[in-house]
Amino acid sequence: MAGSVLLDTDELALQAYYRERDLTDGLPIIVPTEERVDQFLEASGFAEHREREVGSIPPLNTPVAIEDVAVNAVMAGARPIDLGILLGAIDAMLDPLYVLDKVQTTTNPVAPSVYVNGPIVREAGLGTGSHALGPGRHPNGAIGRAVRLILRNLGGANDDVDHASLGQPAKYTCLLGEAEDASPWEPYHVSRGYQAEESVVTVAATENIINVVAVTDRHKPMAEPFLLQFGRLMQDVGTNIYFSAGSPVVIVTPGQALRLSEEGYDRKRLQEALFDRGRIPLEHMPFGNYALGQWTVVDDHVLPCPNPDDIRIFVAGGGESLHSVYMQGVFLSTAASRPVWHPSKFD
Amino acid sequence: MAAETRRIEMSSVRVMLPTPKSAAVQWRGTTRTHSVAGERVAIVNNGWGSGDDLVDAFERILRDEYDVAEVKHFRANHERKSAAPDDDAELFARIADWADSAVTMLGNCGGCTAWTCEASAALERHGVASGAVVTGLFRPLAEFALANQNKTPEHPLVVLEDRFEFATEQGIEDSARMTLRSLFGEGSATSREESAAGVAV
Repeated sequence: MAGSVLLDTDELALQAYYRERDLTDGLPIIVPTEERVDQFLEASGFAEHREREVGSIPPLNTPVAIEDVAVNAVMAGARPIDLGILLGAIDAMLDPLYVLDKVQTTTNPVAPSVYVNGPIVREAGLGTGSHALGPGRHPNGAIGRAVRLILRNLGGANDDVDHASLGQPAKYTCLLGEAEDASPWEPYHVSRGYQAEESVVTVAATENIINVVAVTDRHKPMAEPFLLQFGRLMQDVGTNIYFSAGSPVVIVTPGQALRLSEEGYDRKRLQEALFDRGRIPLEHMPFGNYALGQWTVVDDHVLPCPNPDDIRIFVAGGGESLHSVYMQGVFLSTAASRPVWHPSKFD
Repeated sequence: MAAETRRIEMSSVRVMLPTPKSAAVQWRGTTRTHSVAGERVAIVNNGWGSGDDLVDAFERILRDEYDVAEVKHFRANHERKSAAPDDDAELFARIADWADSAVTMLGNCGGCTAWTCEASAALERHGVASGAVVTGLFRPLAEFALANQNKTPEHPLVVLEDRFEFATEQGIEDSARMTLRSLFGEGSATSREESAAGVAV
């Protein structure tokens, strides 16, 4: 009991210690005592691998060990079962096509958005339904928050290095699990070549989170208003996405996914339709777009991304057929997926 | 153990720090001045719109006052297949095949600064004497990126005034001369005086 009392007494000073050294996201943390970190690693199954290197996170670009990730996970309030998701997310963000160094330093408000598939979604109790992007009782918030702390503390993207002009709330946390059980389509990770029984984490770079209500009623088809409105969003020229590059992400609520499915749309057909409707007439770009970008013009239209398959479609959210979400991308950052790490990885 | 050596005692509670074992490296800068007389000089431009006038000034002053063999403008977003890392790497290698030295620009946003530092360091690794040009707001990031991300803490860095996009023509001229002087030393004084006097050179 004495230890618990002592912690309570020192709590404000401990919080201040981390906050004053720019080691937090500005919110209170769980103080990563040695005991807590040891217990966390032990319970995660990664204790014997705590010294193993995960990679080097830009722009700090210095070797990061599993133990370093665990310290940040504890600070964020994540649980031991979440560590494998975090390690997979780091692995994915280090994919060169994700261009993490630019994501970390840009004046754009870009945030990593994290999507989890496979058995780990149920095992870890991730939120997939209403308010999957928060807030709520599910652990999405803590895991997503750990991603931010890792990028700041282990990647060096503190306030002097991360130049986001305004930032955005998604930079605190942005993670959900796909509602595989409620989806009429195969799980996202299966569509990318993984086995259904694999647990996979996908990261995308998200500039804006834009809600879409496909205006229709139950007597009329869903597809046309859905495609019209998402197509217009994908044509938005006031963004510094590099058109014809990157990965637009569409999160379809299960209710809308079911209606689209009933109207003959599987994921592939929806990707192709969105790709077609997202093409930008050249006359809509009198000022071009972000100077550093490059794009592909076909038949006087700018392609929204390289191929239909680059539009990433997840199913999540409430069961009603009202709200879906467009996760607008940024420059050329391409979404990347990696398996959730498990201690058996090192066997 | 990665974090163990950095554990600290606080009121008998042992807490752990969330940063890597290796601390961030500080940018140290360089005193190197590289003469470009007789060399082929690349102006490596990420395409930042406000940088076009600066590119023009670099090209003119290098030709008129530095006795260079040739100057060539590589505008990255026109030169490469895409901005993907592999295509960047191919572009850097292609520039290095042609150039002896380079001015790499312009760090006037976060991602642009990261790119400028990466490009300049990559060219240096290819044997091209290069310097990165950024604006004042992005100096801390440039120093951090050069020293840590690119592992080049002594890489030449030139910092222009803030709010570059509002610079006057004279400001652009001054920035160009300051940059070239920092990277390549003084140009030909005679040529400069003749230019100032309106004498054809």
